[in-house]
Amino acid sequence: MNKFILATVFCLSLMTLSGCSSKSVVRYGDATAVETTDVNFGSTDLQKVASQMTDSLLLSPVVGTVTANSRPIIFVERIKNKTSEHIDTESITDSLSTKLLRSGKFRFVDMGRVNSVREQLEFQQNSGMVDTSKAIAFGQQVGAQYMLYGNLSSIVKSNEDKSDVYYKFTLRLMDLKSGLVEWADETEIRKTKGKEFVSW
Amino acid sequence: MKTKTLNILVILVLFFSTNYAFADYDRNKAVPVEKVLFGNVISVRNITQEELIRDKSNGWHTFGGALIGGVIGHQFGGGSGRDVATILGAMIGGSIANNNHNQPQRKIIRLVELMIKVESGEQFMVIQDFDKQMIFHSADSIRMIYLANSTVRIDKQR
Repeated sequence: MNKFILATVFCLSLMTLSGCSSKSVVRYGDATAVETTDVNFGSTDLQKVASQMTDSLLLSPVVGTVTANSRPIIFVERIKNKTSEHIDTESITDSLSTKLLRSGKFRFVDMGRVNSVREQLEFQQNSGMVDTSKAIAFGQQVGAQYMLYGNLSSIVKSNEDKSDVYYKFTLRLMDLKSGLVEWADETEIRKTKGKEFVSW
Repeated sequence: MKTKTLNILVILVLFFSTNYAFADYDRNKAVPVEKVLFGNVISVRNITQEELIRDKSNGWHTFGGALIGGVIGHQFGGGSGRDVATILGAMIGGSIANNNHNQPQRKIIRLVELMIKVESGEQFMVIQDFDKQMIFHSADSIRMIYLANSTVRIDKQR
């Protein structure tokens, strides 16, 4: 009888221990779900910034006038990151330009690919491998009419119990011919992290 | 002759007594920032273990003197007439404390010396920890971050 009880206890202990053992699990999640891992700049902030700025730009009366009869050509300058964090600002500008392109109201030139384009055109012109009558000649590209540029800054305050991070993202649209800033807007994000007392 | 200012900021970053002391920058953490300057790397020089040990054995003055000499030489040799600020994003405060009980010659402490030119035209020489996660090259676009705890950090721009 005692042996039976001992064996049962041993089996139950083994099952309990095996249930407690940790193992890594990979799951797919919602890419647009709110991420609150920490107070640092995250995916939710990037999505919020890109979404709000795009909506603001597209709904602006000035932009409505500019895009009424044509699709202006824009180039996006790098966003100046004035925070302590190593944020991929190109990802923000990618999201912005993609959303604006999908609106069908703007066209873009990609300054980040100028060297690649030059290499390809030189290949077409000089390699001898491309039919020269069909090769794209230099000097036919269209220049940008507007420049989209901005800043990302932060104010961080913290003490033993609480951290508070305030982000401000400013975006502006400049007419390259006149130098006038035709549109500007800013998005603010405030994130706090504090201790919570859990009760049962 | 135009008056030139030489700013020397000595910033102490603690090193720990391991055989290989690499940087431990947490670049993804939101911390207070005083200001951020943007610019490019003019030159990069990795400071080797032997150099550092020689500097230690000769004392602080030799190390600082050599650094200042290099900056002044650059300032006058270039003929740009611009101010050069030296920022020693360095190490030695914590390192000395640790080395009191250790053999310094066994340590490998890697630093990187960066000559930076910011958008305003000013030049800065910054010495900071070598970080294998962020290797600098000439002409890299960088951010010079003045953190609120009186330290400066150079980051590559993304």
